[in-house]
Order: sequence, then C-alpha cells, then structure tokens
Amino acid sequence: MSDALNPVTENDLHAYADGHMAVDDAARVETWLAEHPEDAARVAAWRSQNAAIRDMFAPYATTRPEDAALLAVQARRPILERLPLRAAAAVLLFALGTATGLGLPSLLGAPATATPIFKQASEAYAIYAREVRHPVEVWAGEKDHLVAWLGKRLGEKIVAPDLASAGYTLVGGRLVPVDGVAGALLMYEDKSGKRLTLLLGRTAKKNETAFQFASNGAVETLYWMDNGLAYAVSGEISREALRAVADLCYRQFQPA
Amino acid sequence: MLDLMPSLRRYARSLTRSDVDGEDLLQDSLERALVKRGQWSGGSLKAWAFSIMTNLYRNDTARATRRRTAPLDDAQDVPSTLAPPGDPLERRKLVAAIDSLAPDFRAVLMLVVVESMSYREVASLLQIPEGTVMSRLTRARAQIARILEADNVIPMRRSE
Repeated sequence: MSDALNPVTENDLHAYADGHMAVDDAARVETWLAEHPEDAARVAAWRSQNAAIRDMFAPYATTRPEDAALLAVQARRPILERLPLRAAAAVLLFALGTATGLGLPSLLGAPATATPIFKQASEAYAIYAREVRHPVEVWAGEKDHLVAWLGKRLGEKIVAPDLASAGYTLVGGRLVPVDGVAGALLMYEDKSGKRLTLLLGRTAKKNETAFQFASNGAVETLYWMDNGLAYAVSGEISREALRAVADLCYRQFQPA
Repeated sequence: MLDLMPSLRRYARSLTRSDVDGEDLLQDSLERALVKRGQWSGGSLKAWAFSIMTNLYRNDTARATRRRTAPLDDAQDVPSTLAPPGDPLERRKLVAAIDSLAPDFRAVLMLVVVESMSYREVASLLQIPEGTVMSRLTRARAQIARILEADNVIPMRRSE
C-alpha cells in the first residue's frame, strides 16, 4: 500500500528471513510479501535453507571429554613444542598484514615489511620443511599445474628445477608471501627425507647480485637476485652442498 | 572458554569441509587464542575467539587449497546417526552450493545462520561495515540459489 513511501529493500527481506527485525518492520515486510509472491518465495527458500544448514551442523555443537584437557594441556605445553606454531603464527601475521589488503583487525599485529629475503627464506624453510602432513599445497604429482599456478601468481614464468643430480626430488610447492606479495616456495627432498626449499619472490628492481650465504640457526640459506626475481635456497645442509644445488637452480632459470 | 567449545566446534565444522579439517581448525584456533591471550581486550570472549577462528580459516591457504581440490565428501563425514533428516540428495546439493562460496561469504553465512548472530555482531566480529555483511550475505544466497537451480555441479575449481 505504502510501497512508494516505504519500500521493502533486499536487506529487509534478508533480515526478515533471518529473524532480525523489529515487530513493526516485520509487519511491513509481511504486507509486502503478501503482494509480491516472488519475494515471498525467495524468503521461504532462504528460511528452509537456514533450517537445513542449521540442522547440518547442529550435531557438532558438543563438548568432548578431551576438551578440558585440550585447553589445559595446550596452555602448559613445553615451549619448544610450541615454537613451530609460533613461527607459523608469525607467517600468518605476515600474510594477514600484507597479502589480503582487507583492512584486517589490529589485534593481529603489524605487518613485517623489511625482513630480508634470506630471513624470509629460512623462516619459510623452518616452518614448512618440518611439516609432516602438509609440507606443500600442491604436490609434485601435479607439477605442471604447480609451476603454472605459482608462475601466474608470481607474474613470471617459472620452472621447478631438476635437482636429481644433487640427489633431491621435488615434493611440491606452495604460495607464500615474499616482501608482501605472492612468492613461491618449492620443496625438495632426498632419499633420507632431508628437505630443501627454494623461495622465489619478485624484487622491486631488476638487479643482479652474486650468491650470498646467510645462516639462521641450523638453517643455511644461499640467495641471489636475477632479472627481477629473488631466489633463496635453504636447508640444514653444508654450504658446499647448498652451493651445488644453487648452481643447478641458477642454470635452469637461465633463459635458453 | 570451555563453555564456548560447542559453538566453536560447530562453527569450525561449518567453515570447513570435513570433520578432520574442522577439528584442526578448532585446535589451531585454541592454540592461537592461548598464545595470544594477552591481546584479549576484555570484551566479548566469544567474539574474540570467533574472530581468531575466522581469520585462521580465511588465511590458511593450505587448508583452503585442500578443501577446493578434495572431492566432495561432506555428507559421508557425518556419522549416520548424527545425519540430519531430509532428502540426502537435496542436502548434498546444498552442501555443494555452500562449498562453492568463497571463505568470506561462507563465514558471514555461517555466523548469521548457524551461530544466529545479528548483522551488527557479525560486522563487529569481522571488523567490516554492516553494509558489507549484508552484501556478502545477499551474494552468498544468490550464489546458492544459482547453483541449486543449475541443479548439478560439485565445485572442483583449483585455487588461483
């Protein structure tokens, strides 16, 4: 009746379906729905979906006997055991601060922006190489997809270097933040399960640098920049072995 | 915190695709909350815990990729005694439609529908304007409607 003066908006329909409406407003919407069967049908569909979705997850709203222990044990867990998680949290903070650009909650902390590439590389190694179940996002079985995907995110065609002559085979790769933009982390493994990571990130300038070593605890990193990309190989291996791997990478990243 | 466990567990499961991922997310969130408990401002513990979980979910790219590349197996994850009533085929279609939602949309839908939060609560929890909550909710429902109409498809798209 008073449609023109008091139109029912799309938002009103959702609020009505979700039961978030004052009584007066709800009456107004009901009047509208009586005159607009299409809207009424949509609201009815949302309501039945709401009920179905609620039913779907309602069985999970339970406590389990181990819950109290879960909270207590975690609080008391030895510091050493928690370190990888803390490191993971640090990477998450970094990703949150830089990768999404969504204006994230300040409680998540400030983004780390000035971390040198070798430090980012050794941290990525420390986190992901020790992951047993989920070291990579995409496994080597889908190598073509992996390099195409990472290359696209990186904005540069890449290859996964063949390190077989050094005794390492590709495990897979994942997307990681490098200097606040998408970078690629490739992981390799030798027969004994010892792992190496190769981090690739974009650099602001197209400069070229020599190979440079850096140590971070037990993790050695060898890094260089070449043609707009920064490369860093990290592992808990000797500098000589790392050097051999970096040579292989460097040669295979050269344009033919 | 213990009082929040049922709703946190339910929310974790509503965001993820499988029981395993749901429990992983729950445990990661608890760990995170305990490590960061100094940062709790003293406001609603529930909102704080939910926002930690939402952020972990939204930013865990590994988990997101697994979810998107894994075959749809949701319905089978629920033990049959717990399975909600209703036509299994219809439910499966709805599950597929929900799984196609981007994380931000899914989170809003679940907070509104499953956790029965008001739009304002969701906005403050996600630190986004209420208008954004509404537009995500609207788009989530439009997408679900589209997919249910299309009457097929299990989303198998790769993360890009």
